[in-house]
Amino acid sequence: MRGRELRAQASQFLNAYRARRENLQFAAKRLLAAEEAVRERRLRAQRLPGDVLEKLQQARLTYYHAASDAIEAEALLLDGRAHVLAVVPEACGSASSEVTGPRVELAVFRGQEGGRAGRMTMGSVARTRGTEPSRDYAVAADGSGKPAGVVKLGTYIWNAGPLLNPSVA
Amino acid sequence: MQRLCLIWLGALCLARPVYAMSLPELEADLEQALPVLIAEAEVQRSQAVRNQRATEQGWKFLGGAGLSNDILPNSEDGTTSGTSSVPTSVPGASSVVSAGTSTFQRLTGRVGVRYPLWGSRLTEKLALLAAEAQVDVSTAKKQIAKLDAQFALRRRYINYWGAQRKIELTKAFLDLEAPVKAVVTERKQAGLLLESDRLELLTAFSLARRNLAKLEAIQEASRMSLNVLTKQDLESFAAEYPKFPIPCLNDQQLARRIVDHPEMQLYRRIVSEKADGLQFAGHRSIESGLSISQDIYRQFPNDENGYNSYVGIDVRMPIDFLDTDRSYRDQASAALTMARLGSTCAAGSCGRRRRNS
Repeated sequence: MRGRELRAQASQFLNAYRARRENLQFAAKRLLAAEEAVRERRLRAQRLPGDVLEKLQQARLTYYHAASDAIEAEALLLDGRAHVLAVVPEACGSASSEVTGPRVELAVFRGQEGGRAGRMTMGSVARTRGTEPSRDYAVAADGSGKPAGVVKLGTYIWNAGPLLNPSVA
Repeated sequence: MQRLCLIWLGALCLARPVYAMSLPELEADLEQALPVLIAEAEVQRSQAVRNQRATEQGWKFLGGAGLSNDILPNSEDGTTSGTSSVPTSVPGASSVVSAGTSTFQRLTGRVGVRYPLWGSRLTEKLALLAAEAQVDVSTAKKQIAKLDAQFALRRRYINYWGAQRKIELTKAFLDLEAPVKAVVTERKQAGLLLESDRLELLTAFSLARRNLAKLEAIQEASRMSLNVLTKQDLESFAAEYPKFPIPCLNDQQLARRIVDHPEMQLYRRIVSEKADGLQFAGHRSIESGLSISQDIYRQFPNDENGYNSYVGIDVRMPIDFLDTDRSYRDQASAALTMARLGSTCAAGSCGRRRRNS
């Protein structure tokens, strides 16, 4: 009778462990996507004016959530392993079969703001004024934060990725 | 320069040393966990009980001393009836000889041995079997206590490690707060950013600070639990990746290995003990024993010594002993059924009953 209970418990923990392994793989992919989004937004922020820094910050926040979830998923997987071992204490596998967690890159949060005051104060009119998104207003170079009144025309280029890559550009 | 050096040294002294502590290092201290220590004490107690029961088996020494006052009628030839060794005309014994009877005292000492028979023997045997089973059960319980402590330790360590990683992540994210705040404030002042957007962007840092407080609380709670489990006074330490064995991930392998689980060993032992109880349940109500003894006595007031050897069997049982035996068998049968169904440990006394995540 107790054997059945233990077998049922072991089976339950094993299934939970498998689900947690899938969850970790999902979290790893989500983290990868978030990291790529930060990289892309950083490239944009380095080269383009507008609300790119806000977008970069949003991407960093998404990365923060994704990284936090990935750590949680890895901890849950380890917890699931501990549960299975509690029912069947003997080890039964090689270390190579272990699922390692995704690498959380803290360098993602390195600030891009320093030394870029001129460009980062370039804001999108669409966000503030509701006019054409292609028109930007530059801020006065004296740092007063007031618009300089200079109207710039924007250009949209399809497949501009290579141009944004610093090594290519 | 000297001042700078002093400041640096002072900061070095004030800084709390953060040392690394791995999970295997902590698991080495699990023998000191309170449940394991209690279980170990229980093993020692049950072993002592088993030893006691073993010495109580079979032959027993018996001895005693007593003083009796005998009043015997005198016979016509001047001797007391029932004994020829007590003359009534003993000088100095007149005070104890009344008309028709003689009174004398006898101081008796007895040594001998006794061997239990039938029900008495069965009761002793069952007590020894139960004590032996209890040794195995308490040993299995100790293993279960160790497994439980190991399981709890691993979970706390994983919590600590997870919180530590998230704290590092959150602190790295919070490092962005000052520069981002400066930028968005500047952009808002420049009319390039709505106040609502500025506040929304900065809300992320408030969220991170809230997370940080929660994570630090989780880490602290985990550290305290680890201290309790390992009986250590761990300061804040740097956790390493939790390394512990990889379990069987195959249903068939798991099912095979469950048979060797200490909890299964414990249940099997309890069932076998109850089966023994049923096997020896019959005729327990007839308590009996074979006694062999030697008496030595001294009789007063004539100061005579005497000896007496005795071999005998005594029996003691209820009048309705057949019903009593049937009740013993019913009890043993029900106990065996309960053990087979696992309800002997329903109160959780036999280790884990459940382990919820």
